[in-house]
Amino acid sequence: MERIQVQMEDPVFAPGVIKTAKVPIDVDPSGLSCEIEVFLGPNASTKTATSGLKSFISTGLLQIVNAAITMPAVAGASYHVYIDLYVEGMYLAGYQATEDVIIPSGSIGPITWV
Amino acid sequence: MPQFNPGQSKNAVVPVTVQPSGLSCEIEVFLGPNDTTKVATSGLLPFTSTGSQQGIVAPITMPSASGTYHVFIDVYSGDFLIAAYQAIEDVVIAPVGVAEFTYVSSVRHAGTILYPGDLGNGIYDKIQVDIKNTGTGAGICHPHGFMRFVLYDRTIISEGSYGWYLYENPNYFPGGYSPKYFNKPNPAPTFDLEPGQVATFEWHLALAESFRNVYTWAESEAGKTEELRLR
Repeated sequence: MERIQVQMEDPVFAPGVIKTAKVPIDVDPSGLSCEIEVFLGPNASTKTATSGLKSFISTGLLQIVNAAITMPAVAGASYHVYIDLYVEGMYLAGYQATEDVIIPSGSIGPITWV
Repeated sequence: MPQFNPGQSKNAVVPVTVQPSGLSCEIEVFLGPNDTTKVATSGLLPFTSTGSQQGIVAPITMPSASGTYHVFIDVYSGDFLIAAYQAIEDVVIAPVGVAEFTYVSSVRHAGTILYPGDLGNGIYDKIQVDIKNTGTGAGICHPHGFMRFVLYDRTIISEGSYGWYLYENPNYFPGGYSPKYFNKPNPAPTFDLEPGQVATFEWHLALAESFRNVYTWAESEAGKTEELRLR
């Protein structure tokens, strides 16, 4: 199943920090047992960092599901953001954020004074 | 350890590598006793990362107070600090020495010098005085040689600064050319003296037969020396 593009702000985070992705989800009908997983990685099959499966019950309306993720420790890279949605144990949809998460690295060499 | 003067403007050139490329970043270079006390700072300077090393120039005005200061460099991307460094070498702000110029000799007549074809048959009087930097710092001295001469009828016909040579002790090496005519004074001299350094300030006067009561003296920041009567 082809992934659907979903909008996201352009986040820059420090390595190893815990951030919570707030994902607006609308699953119809209400009352269904659902799970969501938000993960970062170079591709959809490599999960460098993941929230794990977060359970929720559909309301039939737009609802916000929180998915806490510890950012990758490896800095100096950007990571794609994927969201997988399961309903009643069945994979329903896969999304990819339009913007990547960036974990920057910085280093400094010897200073000269002029 | 780099040493600068108080208030001196310097540029810190910082090789910075931020990955990935294309990020909006900021860098701040600051001096202080610790990383929470910014005595002097470049402020936040924006740049865009290239993914490879790039030289960022951070201008800083050095602190006004003498002392030793640590050098800190912070690099930000987004809202957080991605690199915090302290330079191995501190910056030293040297105390400012103050130059003070004092005459250390009387105004003296040091013979004559011949300028063939000039006024007074080309014979000029050489007048000298020694001046010393007795202060604690280097400085620029602005000495002036003066003369006043009066005609038989006691009319003062001229008074002012005139041509001069500056000779450095101990070699008395000519440092310039005196005026061919004493009504065309040289520009005011300026010269650097290190603390303790002595220079001999010399100027040349042509005396006409009609001149009487000719006096000469020197002036600088130290004040006026005593007058030397030539006639």
